[in-house]
Amino acid sequence: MKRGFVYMIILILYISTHIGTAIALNNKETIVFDNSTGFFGMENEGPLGLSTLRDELEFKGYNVKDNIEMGLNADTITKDLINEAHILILINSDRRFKREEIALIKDFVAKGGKLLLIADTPESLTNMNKLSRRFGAEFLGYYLGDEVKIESGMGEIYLISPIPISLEKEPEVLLQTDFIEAKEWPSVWERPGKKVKKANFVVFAGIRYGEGSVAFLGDKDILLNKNIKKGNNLNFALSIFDWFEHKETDDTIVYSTDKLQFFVKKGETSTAIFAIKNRGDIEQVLKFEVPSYLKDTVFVQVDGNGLKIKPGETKVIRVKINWRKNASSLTGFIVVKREFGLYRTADYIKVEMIQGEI
Amino acid sequence: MRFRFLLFLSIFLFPLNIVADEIHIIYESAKIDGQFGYWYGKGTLNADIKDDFWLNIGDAKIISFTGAIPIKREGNKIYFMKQDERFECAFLLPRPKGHGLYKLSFNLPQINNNTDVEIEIVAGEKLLSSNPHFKSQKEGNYLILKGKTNKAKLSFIYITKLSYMLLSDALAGSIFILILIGYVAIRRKEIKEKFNMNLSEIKRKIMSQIVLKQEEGCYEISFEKPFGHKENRFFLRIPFWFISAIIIIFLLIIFFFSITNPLKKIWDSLGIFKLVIISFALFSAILSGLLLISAKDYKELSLRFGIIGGGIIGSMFGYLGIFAIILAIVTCLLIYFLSILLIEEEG
Repeated sequence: MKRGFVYMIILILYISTHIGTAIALNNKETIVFDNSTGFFGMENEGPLGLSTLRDELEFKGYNVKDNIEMGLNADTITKDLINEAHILILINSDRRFKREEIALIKDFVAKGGKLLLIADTPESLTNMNKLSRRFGAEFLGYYLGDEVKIESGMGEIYLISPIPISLEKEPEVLLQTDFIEAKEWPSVWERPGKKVKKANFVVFAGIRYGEGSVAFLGDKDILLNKNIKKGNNLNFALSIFDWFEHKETDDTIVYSTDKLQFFVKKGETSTAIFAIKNRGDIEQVLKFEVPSYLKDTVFVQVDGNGLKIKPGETKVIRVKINWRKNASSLTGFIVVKREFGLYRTADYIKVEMIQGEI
Repeated sequence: MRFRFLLFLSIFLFPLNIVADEIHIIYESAKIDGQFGYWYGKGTLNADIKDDFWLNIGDAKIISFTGAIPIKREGNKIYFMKQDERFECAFLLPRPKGHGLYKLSFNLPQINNNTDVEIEIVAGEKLLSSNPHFKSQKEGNYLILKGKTNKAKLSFIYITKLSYMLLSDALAGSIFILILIGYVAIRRKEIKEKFNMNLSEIKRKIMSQIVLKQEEGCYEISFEKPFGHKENRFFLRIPFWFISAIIIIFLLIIFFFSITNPLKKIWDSLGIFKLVIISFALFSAILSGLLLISAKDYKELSLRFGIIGGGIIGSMFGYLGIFAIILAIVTCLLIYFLSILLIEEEG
């Protein structure tokens, strides 16, 4: 009887190991960097290579390959390539895509494939936009600077001479610059020309298309070995692949109150405090903003770069309100802008103030 | 005179610090338009820079760079503003041209007119010519070409491992077939006799079982009953020639797959060579068959087996050069003497 029990346990363990291995093998998605568009450097360990990104992706369990390595046609995107790829990456195409290739790629995404389009040279825009426009996005030939720093939910991201992206619809995720100036950029080999406009430029965006996803990135250099370890560039690059996977994260933030009430005496200041707890499973960066008409009255005492709050952590926020001339009462709100991974969202805390003469 | 001496001395004692670009290029074999060939040369250029400079890109297409900011481009010249002490750029060079035998010809990208070049060619076997002169060496699956040059234009002719093997095997195979033809020519009378006798014997055996009769308005072919009934038992007749044919076909299939299986991996890359290999194999099989059938006794059969076995081994390892000849002779002698020993033991 005892022996039978032991055999049963050994059998269950044996079967579960095999099931585990099978699941682990099936989970390995294949990322294909397409060579046919002139890309290379995945195995290059020098500053201009992409070996660090490749190693990190393999560490995460992906198979990272290119057409040449796969023994497939290296001069065109074929059905065989599409069939093998879960995530297809096209970078700075140096050739025009054929009609059949565009149809293949569109079909691939519609059926659940993931596509990452990267362009950062004015020379490649015509070719890349021929494809990106099919998904409602366009890379623009503007120069935004040699190095552009972005404060994001993942921390500081350093982009190297990125180009902006224009989108037809609101994307699911995006990364945008501060309010900066763009210049005309006719060629990589020329210094940028005259100023075009000032705006918050989108340099990364992700959309869902059919059953699949498409991401647009206006900077290839961020992925190079010499730049990927700068700031949180690596986290950012990897989070694109997390987003592709539709990984559900719990981003619950609990506020001790949803309404702040103040009574302010003439010429004085009133203070209120409230607590914020991160009940989710992801670190978030909270930025507090007040409407422009309250900028001289309501002050949230938090560092300008935002408040980082880890899962399970509680933070106390102090809000100061100044007495305001010619007003007996005032109603407004504080916007809590939350950033985590590639996602952004906002909460609102109501502010009510009554002013008295006493 | 004194001045010249001092100049010579200064050059000798303090050699000029010539800055050289370091260029590394790799050529990978890839499937191009359904056929195996070579992809673009993937290169990197490294150079120490002391000031603003210009880069002559030659035939290269620059993919990315670091260490300097481009200012303007005039034809193949790109002017850069120095940013760091070292400039590095990644570029693509044109594909090699050819099939099996490839020609590589391009203009290097250059900053200083002095370049240390290293070219790695995947599955390359031998450098046949180079201009300027470059040293070549084999390292694993790579053919590595190294040289220092002040010229921008480089050209090389090299042969791939597969082509080298195919050519040397084809040469060895041709020698083997010539030997077989010679042997068959010498023994042509014996073969003719044996062949006629064997054919008539087979014909007689088959015809005794198959009867062809002329009936009214038609021919009637009748076979010996495959089924019969003897002493209350049913039986099935299986003629000896049928069993022999099955065994021969079976052995032929095994022989065919044992030869072609090792070729399977490279079969797609063989192109027109497939036909050459098949015709070579068929021709040598016919000649070998004739020689084996016409052997008078076991001793002669052993000798012919030895020649055929040694020839096949010699052709297969033709790319080993002189060693292939030694291998063929050793195999031939081994088969012959072992067979003789075996026959004498049984006798």
